[in-house]
Amino acid sequence: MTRSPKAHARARSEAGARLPLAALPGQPEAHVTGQPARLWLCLYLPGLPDVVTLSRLASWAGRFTPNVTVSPDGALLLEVRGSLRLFNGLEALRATVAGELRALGHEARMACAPTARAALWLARAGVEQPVLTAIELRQALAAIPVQRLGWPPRTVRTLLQTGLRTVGDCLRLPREGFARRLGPERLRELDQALGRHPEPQRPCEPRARCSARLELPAETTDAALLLEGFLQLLQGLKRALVSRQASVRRVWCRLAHPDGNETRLCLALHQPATGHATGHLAGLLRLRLETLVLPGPVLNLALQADLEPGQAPAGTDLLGRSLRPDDGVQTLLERLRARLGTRAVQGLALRADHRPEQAWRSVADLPAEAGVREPLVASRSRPVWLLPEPERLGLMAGQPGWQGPLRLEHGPERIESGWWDGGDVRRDYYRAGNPRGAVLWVYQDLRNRGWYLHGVFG
Amino acid sequence: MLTELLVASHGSGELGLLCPALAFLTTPGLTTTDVDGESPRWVMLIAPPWIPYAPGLRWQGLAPDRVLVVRVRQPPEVLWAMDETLHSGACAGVIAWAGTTTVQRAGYSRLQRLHLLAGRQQAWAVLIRTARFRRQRSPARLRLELRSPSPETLQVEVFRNGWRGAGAVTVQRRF
Repeated sequence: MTRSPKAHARARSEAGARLPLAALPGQPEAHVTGQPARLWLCLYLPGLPDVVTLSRLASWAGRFTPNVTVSPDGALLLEVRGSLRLFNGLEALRATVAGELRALGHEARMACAPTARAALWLARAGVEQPVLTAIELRQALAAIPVQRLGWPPRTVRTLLQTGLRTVGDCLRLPREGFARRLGPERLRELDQALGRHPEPQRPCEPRARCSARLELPAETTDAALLLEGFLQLLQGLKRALVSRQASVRRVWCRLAHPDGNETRLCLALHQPATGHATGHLAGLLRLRLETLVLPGPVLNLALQADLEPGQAPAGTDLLGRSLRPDDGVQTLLERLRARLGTRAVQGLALRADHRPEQAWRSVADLPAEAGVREPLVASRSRPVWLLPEPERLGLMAGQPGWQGPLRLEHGPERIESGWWDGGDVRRDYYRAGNPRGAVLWVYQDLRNRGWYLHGVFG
Repeated sequence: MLTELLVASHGSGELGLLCPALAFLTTPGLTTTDVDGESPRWVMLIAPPWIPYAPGLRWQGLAPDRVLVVRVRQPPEVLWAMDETLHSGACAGVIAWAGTTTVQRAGYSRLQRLHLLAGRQQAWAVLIRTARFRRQRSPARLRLELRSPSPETLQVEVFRNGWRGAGAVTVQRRF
């Protein structure tokens, strides 16, 4: 049988009608590949979970795709077309999703379809077989009973009374009559399921502030239990960081006591940590909890962090070396400070000043600050130890003494400076030895003629 | 590796003695372990008896901006800080002034751990203790005792150097 040109044209237009996905606005690739440009994975959680659970799961699902929608009837919709390669294909992705969801304590029915509504309907109907092409989509949808669409009971009753049991039965009806009897929304939903009508999805934005609370099963002061609780909260933080590709610079921890008071800890990081660096945060927290003195038992724990736009990991260069070679020292500084206190670890820097106590300074922000490279007095002999405050020396037989009378060996070096800022000094510095073999840096203050010990040549 | 330096009292010439070696460790491209000239070059001073004076360190050849200073509140924290520093691998040299109480509590196994950590991270750990610990067993391969017979000289007695012989050298101090 040969087709007339007119019949041929009609067949083409029917095919066009049957493959409407290729004609959708905003799906340009479809023209080229013939494949639908979107693939929606629906996770349908039976039992209508509450809003908090859903938003927490949505933030977890952000790990798989940035395009996550929470449907009002308790389902998550993930657009996964762009993630397939990263997760080694659809089957592997589904297995990962199912495994992690189970670890979070949830069971979901999953379905895959080129449109969001079709994925939702298939998941509600329990069709786990993934639907990838437009033809499969039409067949799969046709088999769904109308009771499973989440339509109002009155609509479903009308459909069943007229003998329409599946979506396929509905699709065979004339469009105008269907819209008139059951409402234009139902027709639009059918069109959206088939991809004939766009259905914009509003992606779920995770919150910019991550905060979480944990009620402890019993009041406790046990540091190990508290740490265990905080580690759970940190896991939540990690999920939020990974899904947003965000980072944190500060994490506030609160331990609430039964009398209403709170103990607060702040973990501050020099470089913002991404989701993959939460192990370091846990380590810092452990150090802080070890030395924390609690005023009483703890009732619940809370954790709060402001998320910042994430930073790309520094990565390595061609030879595998870290592009940020001081990462190791930052981690070390943070760990030392977590246990010993913020001011316990300092760097050293030179200052261009003639006064010995002003010729150096301690550096807290490492290694960002650079000291003066070539100070004024670099060429002078200086001791390696400086006393925090000059120590007044007693006189022994007219000579200054420190564990025995001192013998002045070198000097004097006169230092007169600082008249402009009130820290005026006028001193004669000497190197002196004592009978025990110690070599000291002493000076005579020219204003009161007193002798002072200022440093030790070590 | 772990080196033990015994002194009569803290601050009696040990830092001046160590400075040339520390300067060597902080200079990139000089040590054999430093293949690509990029490995971390920091020196950590833990619980020093006084303020390490930046111009003095500079005078001894050690760049002050490569030096980190840790102050501790309780003596046991000295060994903890030493452990953390060696574990991180960020420092080429770790010098710790161990107060006498810490050292008494520092068992052989604790020092052994430091020794192994230093070996693994190719770092040089120096534990400065008072001379009365000379009789105590120690995992350090190099054990030195420092005396200052006169203000100008230091006498360094090597009483353990791996399996090699012991001896003493006299070092002229640099002021």
